[in-house]
Amino acid sequence: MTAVFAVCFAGLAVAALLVLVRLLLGPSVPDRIVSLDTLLQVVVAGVAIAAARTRSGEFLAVLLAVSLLGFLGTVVVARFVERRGA
Amino acid sequence: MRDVLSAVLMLTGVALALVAALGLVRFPDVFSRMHAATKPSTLGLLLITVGAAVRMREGGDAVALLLVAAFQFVTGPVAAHMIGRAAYRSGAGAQAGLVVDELADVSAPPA
Amino acid sequence: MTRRSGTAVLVAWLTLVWVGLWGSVTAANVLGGLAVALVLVRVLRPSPAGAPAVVSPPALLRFVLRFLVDLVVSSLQVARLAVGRRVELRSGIVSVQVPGASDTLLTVLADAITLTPGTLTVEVDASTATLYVHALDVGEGPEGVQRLRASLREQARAVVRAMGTAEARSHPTPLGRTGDRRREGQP
Repeated sequence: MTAVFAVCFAGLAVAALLVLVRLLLGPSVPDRIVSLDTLLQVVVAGVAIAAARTRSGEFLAVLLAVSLLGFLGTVVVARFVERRGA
Repeated sequence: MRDVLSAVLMLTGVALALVAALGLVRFPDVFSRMHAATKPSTLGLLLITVGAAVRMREGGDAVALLLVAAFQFVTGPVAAHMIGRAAYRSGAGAQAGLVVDELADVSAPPA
Repeated sequence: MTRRSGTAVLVAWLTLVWVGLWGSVTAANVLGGLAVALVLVRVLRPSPAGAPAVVSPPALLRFVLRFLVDLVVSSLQVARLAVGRRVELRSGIVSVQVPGASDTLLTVLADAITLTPGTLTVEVDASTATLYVHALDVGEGPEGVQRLRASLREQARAVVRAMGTAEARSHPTPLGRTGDRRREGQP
């Protein structure tokens, strides 16, 4: 199982780096919101896999909070962009 | 047995997350990038959370993980829709090179 | 689903989430969750979205299964596009109208469209029950657009069958033959 977790974390790290590339390149604000949203999903995936590794539910509350707050943030920024323009 | 199932689910999920990230970088405009950011990453996160839930010792922890997946299913497409609408209305999608745009008739994107 | 049973389902769901968040099924958790859910429903009074939905379990099950298959197919499709060589995509935004659809139904349909192959809901006009859908590839010419609209309408019909309101069900051709607002000459 150790190798599986290593591969999972490495894969997620690469995914996060790729998402960062789009976050930096933009070019528009919606592009960056999409990137941040995806980055957050990668973080949630990472925490879930970390929980699976230790088999303990310590961080699961964090996971729930992060995933819901992320949604809230996305909606708020999207509404903001809609009114103010990219 | 449970370890194998969990490993397969998590590895597939990670592969889908990678694909989503790759699409996000390679696709040409904001709308097509959103296709990449919604479908594979929603399915990927579902597989990862289920895979992790399979390994948990306590049932309560597994339920919490499944709740994360459920929230993702409910919120993901709504968030995508909000971003898509913002992209269209703010004109960020203007360079998308749409061959048909039936939305333009009712809501002209700013130039 | 009547207004009353709609609220009951909401209370049950909120209680379930509460118990899930606590992580164990104890009498205190269930009763506490029930109390919180009842207070929330009482205070916030979520408006039951429009006419009561008529839930048909077999159609709902078919819709959910179909949806899961679609989600896998669309993920694979995006995967192929993301990994493969760059291809010229003819993307576009197409409208589709769902007469008689409640807000709930439109939401479910918009979500389903977003997670199924090649399509993404970008705008919803609740007053005309029209969805505007971005498609990765609309195909060649007007036939391509027609084909796309037909498949979107088929998807809408599946949702109506699963959980449509009586009004949406009774609509003679659930989505009209042409669905395109310009053709029907509506404002």
